[in-house]
Amino acid sequence: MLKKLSQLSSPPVFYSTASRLYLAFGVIGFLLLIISITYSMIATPIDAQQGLVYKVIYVHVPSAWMSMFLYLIATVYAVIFWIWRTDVSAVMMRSILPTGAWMTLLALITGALWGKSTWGTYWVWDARLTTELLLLFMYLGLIATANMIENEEKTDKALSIMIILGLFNIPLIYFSVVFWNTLHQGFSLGASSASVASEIKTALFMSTISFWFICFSIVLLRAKGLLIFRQSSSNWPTKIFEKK
Amino acid sequence: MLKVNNLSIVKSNKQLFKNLNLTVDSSNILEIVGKNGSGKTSLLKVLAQISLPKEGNHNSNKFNKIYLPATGGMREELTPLKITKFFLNCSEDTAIAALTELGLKAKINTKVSNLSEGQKKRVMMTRIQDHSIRLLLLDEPFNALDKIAKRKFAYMLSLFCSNGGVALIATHIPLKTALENNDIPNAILKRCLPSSVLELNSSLENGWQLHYINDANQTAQKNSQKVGIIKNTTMLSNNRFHTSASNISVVKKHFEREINLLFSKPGDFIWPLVFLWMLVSVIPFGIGYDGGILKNIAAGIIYTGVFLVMTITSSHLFEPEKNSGALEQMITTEKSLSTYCTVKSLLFWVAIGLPLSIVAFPLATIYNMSFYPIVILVLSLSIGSLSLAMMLTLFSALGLMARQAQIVVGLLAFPSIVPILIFGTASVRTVVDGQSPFNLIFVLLGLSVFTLLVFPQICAKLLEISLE
Repeated sequence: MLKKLSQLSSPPVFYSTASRLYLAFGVIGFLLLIISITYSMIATPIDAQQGLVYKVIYVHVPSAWMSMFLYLIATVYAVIFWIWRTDVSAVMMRSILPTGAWMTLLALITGALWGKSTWGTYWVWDARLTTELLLLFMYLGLIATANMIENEEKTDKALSIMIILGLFNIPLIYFSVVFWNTLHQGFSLGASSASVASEIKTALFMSTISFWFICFSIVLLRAKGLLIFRQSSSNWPTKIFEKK
Repeated sequence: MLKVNNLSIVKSNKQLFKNLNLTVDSSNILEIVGKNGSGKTSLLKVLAQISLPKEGNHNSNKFNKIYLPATGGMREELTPLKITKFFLNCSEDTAIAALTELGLKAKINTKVSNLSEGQKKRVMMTRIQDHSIRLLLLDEPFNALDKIAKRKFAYMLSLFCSNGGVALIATHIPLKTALENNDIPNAILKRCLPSSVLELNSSLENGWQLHYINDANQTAQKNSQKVGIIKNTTMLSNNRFHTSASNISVVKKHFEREINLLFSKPGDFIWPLVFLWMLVSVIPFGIGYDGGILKNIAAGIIYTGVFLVMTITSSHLFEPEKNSGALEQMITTEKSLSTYCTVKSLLFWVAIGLPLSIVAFPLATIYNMSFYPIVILVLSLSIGSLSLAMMLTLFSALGLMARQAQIVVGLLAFPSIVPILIFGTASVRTVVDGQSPFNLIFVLLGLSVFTLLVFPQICAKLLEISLE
């Protein structure tokens, strides 16, 4: 198992694995998304106070989770890059950033729409909202860094340092509902959430899984492209295209 | 003995040479020849540990070394005296003696920008007299040098080699041709001739070829004349300068350099303050003159104003250092870049952060704040600006690599300063509410100390990356 994982650091192996996985992930993710949306629309109960609009959580919660989770994964790749200096980890680290930024934006927008109908306003200066906004800014700053530095190797090194430095924000977002008394509600799931109906949990679980698959499908697709571009001077890319 | 194993250098995706193997014994000179773009300077930079080779290794980290570039290498705002004092890490008298040796006595207090090319070169060459140097990496040393300077150079080089140093000289003019006919005594001249020549040329196999100069007599002569040369040269340069490398003096040395740099352009202190004054005064034109509103937003406005002004001024930190080549010198010679970064960011705080915090006092008054909250604002701002200075030094080191440094620094810095903004303004608010602000001030202090200890290390790493 470990051996197989370490083989993934070889660009051609990663490329062929990624080419297969991104398709599989994409298809699974898309199907699951359709199923989970259908399920959540039909099977889950309608909230007594909020009505139908609360169903936006099936997009809002997964995207918010993914926005933080993707950052964590990017940090893991940044650490791997810092230790082993493999091209694959650099490419993964870079390709996660845009997807993470989109997920953050999606969480903010769906949150704003939900907020408008329940709190009566699109935006409040609440700890969780602002820390999430901060995460978006950090993603944007990192993407800007990645784009504006000319030299690829320098960019990778600098970017990995910056990503690791920025990690401080993730616990801030995640625990902001605990640390500060906020308008945003507390943890939706977990030990203390006996009040949540089991259908809602199931639907939320399914939509999160589908988001996970879709995100990683996009990340792998982007990583694949970046990798073949970076490795264009070595001979395995030509071999792959000759085969086709 | 300098050893190079299987070294390959790639520059902008072009292989310059590969599998370079060579050894240079102590007291020997290696001449590096080749066309423009053949990789002479790149090789020297790799050996100076400024850039990294694609493959292979070398043992230059075991040497005390200096790298003298073809041009530049020092901040032109400084005077030769201050530069020499820094490079040799010595007293003023010793620095004057070293400069007098190279005929620069009249120019010791002239700014380097007012010197001629040859004189600049001589200022850099004073460093060869440093006693502790064992590896000399010279890039085109004869450009712009006159007869007298060449003679002085030959004396210094021969003395350097007699003391067991290794010299690598990249040049278009062979050493022999360059030094002949300059009234240099034969014994000295012989001592300055290379023992081998490395030719770099992309048409050769692997891009390089090593020629040994087979002159058995020469080596014998070298040894026999060693004593004589030392006598000869000591006549001229009776002092090769000892350097002390204790930690305190390194910090002191950096402090002196940074302070000299700051005072070479005193205007840089004033304009940031004026800018903050303007910035803060303009805002009420937009939001109205209601005293109550102004009072509430004062702390936030002043905090963000200080951030903005500091972000803009932070571009002065490393950019001139990099452009003048002084940063390369730092990386080659200095043992710890993090000392350099710490000193630089501390002085950035003292020179920009603290004055801005003090100016906040009158500015907060025009925003209708009362006395005690203002005192807390100034206090928290002066502590918080320390950690801002640390962050901005870090980000401006990153900015060295980017096309639009200012934008990148801004994009990264603004999200990271949010904790300081929160705790800083919260401390002012607690005072207004009638509670003690000191818990929050201590949090700020903790953040500042943390950044002071950690960020210069990361900053040093980024500087190394930016030059690779």
